[in-house]
Amino acid sequence: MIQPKKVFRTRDGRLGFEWNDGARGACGIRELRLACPCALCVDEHTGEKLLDESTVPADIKLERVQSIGRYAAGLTFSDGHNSGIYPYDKLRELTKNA
Amino acid sequence: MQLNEQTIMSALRAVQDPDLHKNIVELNFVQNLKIDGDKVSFDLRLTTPACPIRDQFKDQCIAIVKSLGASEVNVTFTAQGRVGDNNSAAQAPKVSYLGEVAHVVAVASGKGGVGKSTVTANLAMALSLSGARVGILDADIYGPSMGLMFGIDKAPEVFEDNTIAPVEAKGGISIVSMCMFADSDKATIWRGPMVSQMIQHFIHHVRWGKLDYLLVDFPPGTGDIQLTLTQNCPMAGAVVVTTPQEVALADCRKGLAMFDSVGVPVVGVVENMSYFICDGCGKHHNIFREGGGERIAKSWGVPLIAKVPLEPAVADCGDQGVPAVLRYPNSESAKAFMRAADAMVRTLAVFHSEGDGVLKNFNYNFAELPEEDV
Repeated sequence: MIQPKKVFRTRDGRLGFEWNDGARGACGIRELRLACPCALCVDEHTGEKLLDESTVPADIKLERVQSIGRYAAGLTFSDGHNSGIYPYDKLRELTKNA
Repeated sequence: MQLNEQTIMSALRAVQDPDLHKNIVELNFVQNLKIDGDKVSFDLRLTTPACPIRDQFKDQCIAIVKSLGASEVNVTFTAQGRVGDNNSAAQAPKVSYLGEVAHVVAVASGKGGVGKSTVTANLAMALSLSGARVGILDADIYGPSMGLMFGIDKAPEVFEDNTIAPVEAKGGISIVSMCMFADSDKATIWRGPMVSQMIQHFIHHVRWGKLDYLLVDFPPGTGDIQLTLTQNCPMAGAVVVTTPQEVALADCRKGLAMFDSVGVPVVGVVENMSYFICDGCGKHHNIFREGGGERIAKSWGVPLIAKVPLEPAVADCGDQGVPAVLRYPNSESAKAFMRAADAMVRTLAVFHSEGDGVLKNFNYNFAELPEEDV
């Protein structure tokens, strides 16, 4: 079970995690917003992306990051969007190649 | 031989914790060691006050230190502080009283009618009798039964800030249940969002105080309420209750799968109504097909922590408002519940040590996070 040991901010303003398997990584804020898995951004049944990427500001900021139960994090963005629940294994993937 | 701290500590390394597979010195259990001539005293800081093997630890420690030449050895038990305290930045946005609860444990099943509430009540009583501070959150909004199980007929105190003081029941157990807020003859006819709100209120706005274990009696199934519960409080583990027949096991699997997908580790499976003990001849009868609990435990890789029989006298306890563990402590059912409570305590301690250093509950302002390099 992937779980975070530490949450941090990189110098260039990305969200970083240190995981319990020892890996560390970070992901840009806009990239996180675009990857939002919530039902407003992705069709629950077909998996089709509903979010129009051009509506997401280039300088979008992250305001809060909080735990959801034991398996995910909830992110609150500066555009007010906060309905996404990002499971830790998804975040682990998102922060991998950065 | 002159007694000194070093020789005593190295001798105490012989005492192993059978669950954590480390010795008590390594685990930092031995604290506050004082040597006064040939008198020795120290504290054993256990992971939980309900530690089932604490007396065994104590006897071993005393024997070892005496063998080094001490004339008098005093061992005092203390319990470790609550979990997740090391993370100062983590503060819930709203007021929540859940922070003072060390372990929140789900008691759930896929199917209704398997005796979840009976198991919850008796596990709580067994834990309480072993010295832990225990609370029960009856999350079965539509069919609350904790009031009946403990014979509670009073309403909890509700404070001005809308927080609730739990009702203290038999065995010093703190309980909050929907039955305390609603007329028992009226049905709670609520849609999902209202129920979710009530659940959140129950989780965060009850003044539990300091508890070692909070058992959450889940409603049957894998729906809205269950998801709200697992998302709103970081459960330390889950106990899944089933009966031996295949129809219950099918739903039990769904319960196990649900906890898997929300990252809550399963402590074990309790098989209820395993067999019937005849009150006339004492013979054991298998009413349902045998071995269901074993099968599911094996296929899911979780332990079967108890097989609770059907005993007419004991079964009546729930209706009488006194949990069987308290009323018939020598019955087979009570013993099974106590074994389950022991197993739960030990497994939670293992989960806790495995999850060391993992963030459990956090809420950060991004701008205030520490700046680090990847």
